[in-house]
Amino acid sequence: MADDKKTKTVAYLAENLTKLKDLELSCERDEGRLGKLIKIELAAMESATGKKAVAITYEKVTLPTDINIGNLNFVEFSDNADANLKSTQRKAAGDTPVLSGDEPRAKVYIGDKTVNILVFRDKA
Amino acid sequence: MKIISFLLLICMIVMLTGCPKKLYSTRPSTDFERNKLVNQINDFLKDRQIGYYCAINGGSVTFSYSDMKYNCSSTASPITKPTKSPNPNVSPTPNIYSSVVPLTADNDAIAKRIRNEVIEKGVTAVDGVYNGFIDDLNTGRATTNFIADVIDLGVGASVGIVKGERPLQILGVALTAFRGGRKSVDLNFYREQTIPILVNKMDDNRAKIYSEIIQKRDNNKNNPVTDYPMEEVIKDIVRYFNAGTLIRAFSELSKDTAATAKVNEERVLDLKNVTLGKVATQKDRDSSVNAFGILNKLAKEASALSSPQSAKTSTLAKLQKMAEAIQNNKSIVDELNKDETLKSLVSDLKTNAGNGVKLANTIIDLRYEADGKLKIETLNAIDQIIIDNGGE
Repeated sequence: MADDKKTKTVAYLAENLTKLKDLELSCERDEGRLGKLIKIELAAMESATGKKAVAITYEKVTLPTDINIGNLNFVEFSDNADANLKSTQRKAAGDTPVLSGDEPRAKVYIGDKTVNILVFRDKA
Repeated sequence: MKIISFLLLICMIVMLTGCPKKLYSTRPSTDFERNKLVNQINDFLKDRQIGYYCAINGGSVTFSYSDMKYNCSSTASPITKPTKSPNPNVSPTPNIYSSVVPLTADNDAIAKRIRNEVIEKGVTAVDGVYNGFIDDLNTGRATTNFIADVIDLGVGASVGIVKGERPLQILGVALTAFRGGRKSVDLNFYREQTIPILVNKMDDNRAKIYSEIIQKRDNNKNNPVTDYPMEEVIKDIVRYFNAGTLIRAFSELSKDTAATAKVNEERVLDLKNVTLGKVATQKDRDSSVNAFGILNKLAKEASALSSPQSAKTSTLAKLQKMAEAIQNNKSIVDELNKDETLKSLVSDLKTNAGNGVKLANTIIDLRYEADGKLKIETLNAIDQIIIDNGGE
């Protein structure tokens, strides 16, 4: 029987991500196989000789589930005020924060840039 | 002036060394006399242990409502020496011990009930003394800090009033020493932690131990009581008591700091062995998410109590077709069989074929375990099988 507490981490090299949408689609695809996204971290991959990467951790879910797996919303923000505004807009639209905290923030590498994002799950 | 300086020095010495020890107590008092709990707990545990050992040794346990105690009588011939050693604090009486007999289901149930009573009442007693300790901790430290603040402010103010170089020198030295002493108390007795942090840590430690005790009790429901015996319960209650001490709080806080640093360090190390993902296209994403959605929908249909049997049969049939299609696909199975976990899950597809929810979750497990191990084309092929067989 499925074990909810199992987690897996997948990393994406920054150089392979040309836009935020690439990461969002990859995370949605991975959610479909690995379970709900629980963590996003910046990383350096030793296997790729120290190259910058983004590490995403997923937690397996047991069926049936009410979690809207595979429907994520990565929203880029510029500063705290922008984060507050966009966070409020997403919540008003019925989206739920994916990462911990009222403002589910994460940093990711996209190409050679570090991007600040909010991570929400679309309303089912 | 000399008298003032002398009095100030005496005050400092008293504050730093002569304060009642209980203001700086690092653990709850073991003197339960305050609530008469010590005598109650000792008496309580003693007769409960008699009842417990009586039950597991085949004796007849009775409960006296007049003095709220268990008693024991044995139907077997008494022997002079115990064949099973009880808690050494419990004085044996000749008719308690009999030949060792197999533990019957009835006696096991009685022993468990008595053991569980010891858990609940022991924990309640420890909670009582812990709450008293916390109250004293808060009151004591607040009082100490208040008095120390008054002295600090008073001496500080007097520096502005006193005339003469020598008295000012003395006051300056005294104030420095006094403040150093306060810092030392905070450092040595409270490790520079605030009371709320320490209390939170102790609460956390206690909650973990309590949770372990309850889990052991619950896991023991269908096993003999000797798998979680009275001796272990008493040991656990002592652990529960010790979890509510300052010493344990300091030690766990240190471990937390070290653990956080280690996790942060390990996170970098772990990433050395992490799967490198291939960036997904919209098609990849749709295929994977749709496959999950279909499995979830079928699992919901299979588990819904309100679904008619015909619907459940149809749902199960779809899942069975999926499972068969996976097992009949030679290239998929050849890859799956290269890994022991995946091979075992293929076997589970047959085992769980009769249960819709289990079958859906087995397919989910297969996809989960296969990710990172199989070729992307194979993973996509499995998803396509799910979509082809699970749709309307």
